[in-house]
Amino acid sequence: MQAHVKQRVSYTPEPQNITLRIAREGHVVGEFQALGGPCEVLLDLPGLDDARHFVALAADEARRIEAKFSRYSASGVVHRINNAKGRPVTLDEEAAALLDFAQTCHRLSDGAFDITSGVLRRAWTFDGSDRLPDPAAVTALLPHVGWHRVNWNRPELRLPLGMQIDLGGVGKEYAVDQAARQLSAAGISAALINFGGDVFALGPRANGEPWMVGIDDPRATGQACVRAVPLYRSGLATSGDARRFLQKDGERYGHILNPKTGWPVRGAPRSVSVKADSCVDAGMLATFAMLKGPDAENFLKTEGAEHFIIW
Amino acid sequence: MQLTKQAKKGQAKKGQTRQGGAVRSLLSAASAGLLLAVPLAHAEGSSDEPWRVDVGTMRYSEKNRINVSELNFRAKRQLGEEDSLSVRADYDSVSGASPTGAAKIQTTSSASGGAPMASFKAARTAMGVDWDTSLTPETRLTLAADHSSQKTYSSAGLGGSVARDFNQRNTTLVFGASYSVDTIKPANGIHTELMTTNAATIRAASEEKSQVDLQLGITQVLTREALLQLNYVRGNASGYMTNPYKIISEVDPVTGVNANGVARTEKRPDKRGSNVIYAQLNYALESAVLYSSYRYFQDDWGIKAHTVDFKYRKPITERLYIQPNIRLYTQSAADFYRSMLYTTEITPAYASADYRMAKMHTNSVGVKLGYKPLSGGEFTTRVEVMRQDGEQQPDDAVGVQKDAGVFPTLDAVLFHIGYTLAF
Repeated sequence: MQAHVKQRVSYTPEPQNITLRIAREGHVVGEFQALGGPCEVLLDLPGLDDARHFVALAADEARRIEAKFSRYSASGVVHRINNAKGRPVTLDEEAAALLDFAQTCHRLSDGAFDITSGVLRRAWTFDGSDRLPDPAAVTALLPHVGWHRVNWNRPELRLPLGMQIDLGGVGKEYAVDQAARQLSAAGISAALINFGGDVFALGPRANGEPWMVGIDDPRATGQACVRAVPLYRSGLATSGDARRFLQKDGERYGHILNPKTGWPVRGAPRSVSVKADSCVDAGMLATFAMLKGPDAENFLKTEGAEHFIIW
Repeated sequence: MQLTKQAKKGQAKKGQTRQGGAVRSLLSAASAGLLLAVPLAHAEGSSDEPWRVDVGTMRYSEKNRINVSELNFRAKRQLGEEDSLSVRADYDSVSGASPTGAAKIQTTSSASGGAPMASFKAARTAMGVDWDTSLTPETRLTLAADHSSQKTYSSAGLGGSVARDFNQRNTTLVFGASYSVDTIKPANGIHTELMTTNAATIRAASEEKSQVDLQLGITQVLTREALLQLNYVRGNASGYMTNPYKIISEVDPVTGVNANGVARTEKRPDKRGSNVIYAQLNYALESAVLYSSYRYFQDDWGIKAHTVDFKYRKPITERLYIQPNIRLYTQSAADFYRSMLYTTEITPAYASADYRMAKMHTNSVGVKLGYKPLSGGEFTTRVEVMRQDGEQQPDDAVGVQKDAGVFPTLDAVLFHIGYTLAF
């Protein structure tokens, strides 16, 4: 779900379009589309009217972040950066904070997490087939990949010609945490936010019980869950390649690309789920683990992060 | 989301250890700062809701002493992403009586009653304006101006502060300075100090005092749950700080008898340097927030004061919260505090019998309820009870005065209701 290289999604601003229902367990489920996928807000509130207000608050935040940071949003800042043609772009507070954060993640992952690696998508199409790209085409893209080539001098960013950034690797988790912050400020605590599989529980359910979140089975995605994780107040994110991989001569090529080689990280798990204090933390730890390939589990154990890995 | 499905055969593994690793804690610190980079759109003035208005009314009653009725108005207008302007206006009326400082027992034959009081009535209006702007994305400048006046007192002040964020907004440093001038113009003029009330003459119609404060502060995000704020304020005041309404009884050094009710006007030094250290820790629990603070005050008049304050804010429902609070304050006496002077002594250079200069403690407990209707805004109501007490037999009380109970014990109740609206 959390993916270093994203599938193409089109951005269409939608009006509210929220559907509400009451689940069997008694909580309200608000559903809407944003950030390129289905989003849910689960609330323990007695009335649907109140619930609609709070789901709308979360939906507004998701759509605000999508409009601002999706690379498909022509009015957004990422689009502006990617189309600056080598000229500097001055960023506002929020965008600057996200770039600072991406820079920190680049450092913490020894360069493996890189928001400029999206350019490699031109060579790679992960459609489950056996069509590997021409190695020369991958090599030709490498000069356009690498955070170290970017001139980031807060609040001014200058991308060399031919380079692009993509905040898809952190955007959804960020939206979850910001929506949670909005709901918290509105006095909500018995709620859970799930934007396309990236989750944050603001607090336990009204009866004091945890929210139970299922982890998708990548071998039967959308149909089966391999585990139920209880959440009281924490984030949960999953990084995996349920549908996005290539397979040739018995070798599996996951969609997590190493920005230094341009090729998929070898021996990476099929799915990594991490529980952490925030959704962003969970998402980044899951991504970092993926980027470690066969060392994913060791990495998460050393970090003391509660995790669940499927190989 | 509710799931009971068993894990399939697979090679699924689960690991769980509790100690945090290096990457995890650095990541956590970075992401905590990341979330705070953008102000809360619906809670704080955003460009969608540029106005924030607070109105309130307060009633403060001291048992057998003063009553204060106050009206407050605050309005803040967001002028854009970077600038905001706030105005404040308060009106209060004070009436009642305040202890003069005179000894309770004048002669051995008089019944011992409450502390001698001087009654008064005053209305005060105060106004202020703040301008807040960004100098750079990390630096904010705030400029403030204040003015307040009542019939016999007026005050005007200017201040400015610069706050700069560091460390991805996990750290904020603040430097501030302010200057104010107060003018006091008692109806009966300024009297010569430390003279007996009969002999004192009017030496001036009014007096002035000025004060400069310098502030240095740091706010640090410690963890996702904890925020620490440390502040140091150096204050330098000079000018007339004597209270023209207070007097000190002159008693017989053995019997304590205050023959003929003789009393002197008071006098305080015309310089006062003070240091304040303030620490506040906000800690977010599951759904509640605990605010705790400690303040240390020290000045070169010899007063040392400690304040601890706890507030605990807990949601009751999604729209209603309760916030109990407790505050404990204690101070030592000023060097020149004298509960009484003796007829035989050489008049000291400075002396005051004002209870605010005495060794004392004040404890208050209160509770605040806040309600946020779905339509927006927030109603609050707050009740606080306070008790102030001091030494009933200070070391310098003599003779009959020892039995009089020198410190004017105070009980007060405060009631406040308010409404905040953003639009």
